[in-house]
Formats: sequence, C-alpha cells, structure tokens
Amino acid sequence: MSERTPVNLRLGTTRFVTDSQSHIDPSALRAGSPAARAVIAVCPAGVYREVGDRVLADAAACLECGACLAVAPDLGWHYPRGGTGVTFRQG
Amino acid sequence: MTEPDFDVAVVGAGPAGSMAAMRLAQRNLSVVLVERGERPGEKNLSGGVLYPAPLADALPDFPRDPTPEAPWERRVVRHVTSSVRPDSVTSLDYEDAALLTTTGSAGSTAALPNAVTVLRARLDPWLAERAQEAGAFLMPGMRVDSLVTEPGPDGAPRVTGIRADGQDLRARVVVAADGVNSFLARGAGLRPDPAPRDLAVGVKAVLAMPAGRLEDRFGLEPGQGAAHALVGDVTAGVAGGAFLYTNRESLSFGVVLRLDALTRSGRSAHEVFEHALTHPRLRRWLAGAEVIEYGSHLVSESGHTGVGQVAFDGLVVAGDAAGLTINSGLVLRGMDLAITSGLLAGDAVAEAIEAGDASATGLHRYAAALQASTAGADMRTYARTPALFHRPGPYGPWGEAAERVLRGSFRLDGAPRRPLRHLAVQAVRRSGVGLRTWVGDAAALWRSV
Ligand SMILES: Cc1cc2nc3c(=O)[nH]c(=O)nc-3n(C[C@H](O)[C@H](O)[C@H](O)COP(=O)(O)OP(=O)(O)OC[C@H]3O[C@@H](n4cnc5c(N)ncnc54)[C@H](O)[C@@H]3O)c2cc1C
Ligand code: SF4
Repeated sequence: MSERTPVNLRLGTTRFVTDSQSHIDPSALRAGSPAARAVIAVCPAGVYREVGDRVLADAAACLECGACLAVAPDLGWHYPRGGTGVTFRQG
Repeated sequence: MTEPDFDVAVVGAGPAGSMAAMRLAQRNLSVVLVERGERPGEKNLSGGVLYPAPLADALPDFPRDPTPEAPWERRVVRHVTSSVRPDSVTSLDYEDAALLTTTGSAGSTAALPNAVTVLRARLDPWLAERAQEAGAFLMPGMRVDSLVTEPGPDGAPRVTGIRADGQDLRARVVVAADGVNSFLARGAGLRPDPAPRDLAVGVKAVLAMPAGRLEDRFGLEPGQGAAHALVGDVTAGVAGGAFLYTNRESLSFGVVLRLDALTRSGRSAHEVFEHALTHPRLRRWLAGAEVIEYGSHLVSESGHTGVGQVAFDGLVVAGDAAGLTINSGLVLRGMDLAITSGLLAGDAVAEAIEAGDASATGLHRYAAALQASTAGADMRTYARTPALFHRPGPYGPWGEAAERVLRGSFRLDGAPRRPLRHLAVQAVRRSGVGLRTWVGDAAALWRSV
C-alpha cells in the first residue's frame, strides 16, 4: 500500500511475519455486493478494496481477527500457517 | 483405536488452554499444548482487565505485587463508566480502597488485587510456562487444521485427534481452547457458526506514556490503575463501546463494535477507531501519547445463549471457544472465565480418562462442573444483558437525556430554574424515541442487571 492513510500509519507499528502463501481468497466476492461492502466495513486493517468488479485482499496487513469471514461466509479465509502472520508484542 | 500419541491434545495456548494443560499434566497425563503463534500470546489481544481470583486459587504463587517478573501491569482501583457526547461526558466514577485487595475462596488470596491490567504478550507466555513446568509439552508455531474424527457407535463423530501439516496426532481427548473463532469444533460440525449480531470486532491500540504523566492524568497513586468504559458518540453511535485502561507505561485504548450494527452504519471499523482516538472529549487522557501497536480481535456478545454444548465424544471446548464471555455493561470478562473453564476441563478430562470413559457421557462431568461454578452462575446472572444491548438506548438516547437534565441543572442562564422532574420529562420527550421505547429500555435494564 502506498498511500499513508491513518490505518496504514497505525499498521506500521505492528509486527508481521509475511507468509509467501496468501491466507485470504476473496474471488467469490463481487464488488458492490452486500458481502463486499460488509468485509470492507468490518476490516480494521483495510485489507480489502474493490478494483473493477473484483475484490482484492492485501493479506500481509491482516490482523487475523476473523471479522470478515463472520460477515461473509463465502470468503476464502483461514489462519495463516503456524509461525507466520501478525505478531503482537503488547496484545 | 490405535495407541494414542498423547493422552490429551490441547489446542490453543491462551488462558483456557494453558490452564487446562497445566491441570492435566499435574494429574500425570501426557499432554501436548499446540499453539499457532511462534510464542504464546503473540496472536492474542484483549482490553486488559483481569479478575485474578480463580488464577490465584490455582496458582498460589501468582505475584501479588507488580514486580518486573509479574505478568500484570497495575492494580485497578478506579472504574469509570462514561456516556460520551460530542460536547459532554457524563460519568459514574467509582474509586474504592477495598479494590486493592480481594478475598478469593481460598485464604491464600488475602493480598490479591481485585482486578489488574494485563498485556497478553506478557500474560500468556507466563501461563504457558506454568503448563510446561507441570510437564505439558508445548508445540508452538503449529496451526491445527482440523479435528480427526471417526464415526462413533451411534453414528455421531467421535474425536480421536488433531490434524496439522497433513499429519495426524492421536489423543484420547482433545481440548479445543482455540478462541472465539472456534474453527475446530465448527469445522467438525459440532458447534454452530455465530451470527454477526453475536460478535463484535475489537480494534485496539497500545499508546506509550511515562508512568508519572499517566498517574497524573488518570488521578492515580504510583502502581495503581484505572479502567474506563465509554459509550455513545465515542463509537459514533455504533452499538458497542470503547475502553481505556492504564498499563505500567502505556494505555490500552480501543473500540468494540457489533458486526451487524457496524455493517449497517455505513462506516468502517478503522474510521470509527480513528473517530474515537481523536475524540475531543478524550484528549485530556490521550493527547501526545504515541501508538506503539495496533491490533484487532473478535469478542463474543451472545452471553449465556452462546455457550450450548461443551462436551462431545472425545472433545471438550473451553474459554472463548465455548462462548464464555460476559458484558454486564459495567464489566467485560472473558479471561477469568477462560481460566476457570480451562481448570475445570483439565480436572474433568483427567477424571474421565481415569474412569476409562472419554465419551460425551464420560466428559459430561465438565459441563456439569462448569454450570455449578461461579463462572456458570455469572453467565446465567447476565443472561439477559445481550437483549438490553440490542436496544438503541445505551448508544444515544440515554446519554442525550442525561446531558439535557444535567445541563438544565448546572447551566444557570438567567431563566428561572425548573425542577429536576420537569427536566427529566422534557429530556424524554425531546429524545426522539417514543415513550414505549423508554419503558422497554427500563424493563430490559431491570431484568438484566
Ligand atoms: C477488544 C477486547 C477486549 C477484551 N477485554 C477483556 C477484558 O478487559 N477482560 C477480560 O477478562 N476479557 C476481555 N476480553 C476477552 C478475552 O480476551 C477472552 O475472553 C480470552 O482471551 C479468552 O481466552 P481463551 O484462552 O479462551 O482464548 P484466546 O485467548 O483467544 O486463545 C486461543 C489460542 O488458541 C490459538 N489457536 C487458535 N486456533 C488455533 C489453531 N487452529 N491451531 C493452533 N492454535 C490455535 C490462538 O493463537 C490463541 O493463542 C476482551 C477481548 C477483546 C477482543
Ligand atoms: S481477519 Fe480481520 S484484519 Fe484480517 S482481513 Fe479479516 S477483518 Fe481484516
């Protein structure tokens, strides 16, 4: 992500171990659909965005809360592989 | 069944899992504690007020003072509950020297604080070490992908182990302490998927602040702490609230937003968090504090109705995975319930294995012990609070009415004074919600507290 929105600045303080394999597959969501709007609304990390009629996910910024999956059961989402992903130093 | 690799496999080294593993190992069973984080706690986040009595009962050496080794931050002596409006704050501010200590059920808890603040990256490794000391085998950095099941005698699936990295690990009993998402029991079709109205997303930042400034700002003696719960404009009216807790040299600040309300609101979670963090009424506490971490985690809001079945053939669920959280409006609890349920699960599973019956019937003793515990009683006591929080009153009209009444009482603008009862009636009339809604709110409040 290039633009320095507040959420990007905040995420800059959190530590991540990036997995080469993405743990999010948003291909079942269509841009503008209620499910797409819901995942964009609930994600605190701004992971999702709409490009054309597709929804794209920046899995590397994911905080692993699971809110997106709870509002969009068709989403492909699982925890990243053991030892990868977000690493809270405070919690 | 082939000989198992372990007597018990515990999934998740949060408070529930570590305490279950500790108890099982204390009873001389072979226990593996599997955690997807490289180190326990690094995936976990909470607001941070822990009521430590059940933990100190189980671990008499739980530190009573915030020494450098103690896994907690400050003794909470002040609880403030506030309704925040764009221009005003109305608070219930409760401070009590009696909160410095509590007397738990065992006499050993004499000097134990009633509540302490915690950061999970410190608390969880401490708890997992207690499990390891007792003899549990910690396997960090490993994500469990599913439960291994076999058809049981009655056709219902019988859990025989866990699957991770394509390998099966067999156990007589599995303890699923895998947190609020509870993918393991859900994946095996044993527990239902929660609805968005029963879940809230917590969005939290930790902000650095030197101890002296923090104590000045929050009106605290050295080492003492405060817990603020805030509702209203702080979440831009979205159902939920905000919290502000003091750590040794930092603040835990966050919002908790119900998923159904958030998706309806037309706002995003990070927008609402930003709105709260920069709220003018919160500046006196937050100004100049630098964010050192940003994170999020789900909270279960279903209360007692979300618990359901907790013992199955070869499986028990504990902590958040069993829906054990209480939001009384004044107090948010999950960690102490996770600890209690983990300890009870450990004891019950050990007894079931000793009795040679790890079926749902043999493991039912866990469900019974949980119901009979203080945690179970508290879950029932607050069973009706979720219904209250599904009403709009707490997030707008109540705060607005309080503001009108107090403004009318304190703001002497030269006009003749009006008695409080008139101010109250007028506040209700002007609130924009009908009298029936107010009566409904009052009834729901009465039933739930
Ligand atoms: C914003 C917020 C504020 C809160 N405030 C408070 C508060 O002030 N006081 C309070 O008492 N409670 C609070 N809670 C609730 C509290 O955090 C939880 O109730 C508590 O953490 C539950 O403990 P647990 O052990 O059941 O689950 P968790 O602490 O979630 O632990 C689950 C563990 O399982 C691991 N895991 C999950 N899936 C797998 C897998 N497939 N394979 C391997 N490992 C896995 C996770 O990494 C994690 O370590 C709050 C929660 C939130 C989100
Ligand atoms: S899990 Fe949470 S942080 Fe990750 S994409 Fe979903 S909503 Fe965003």
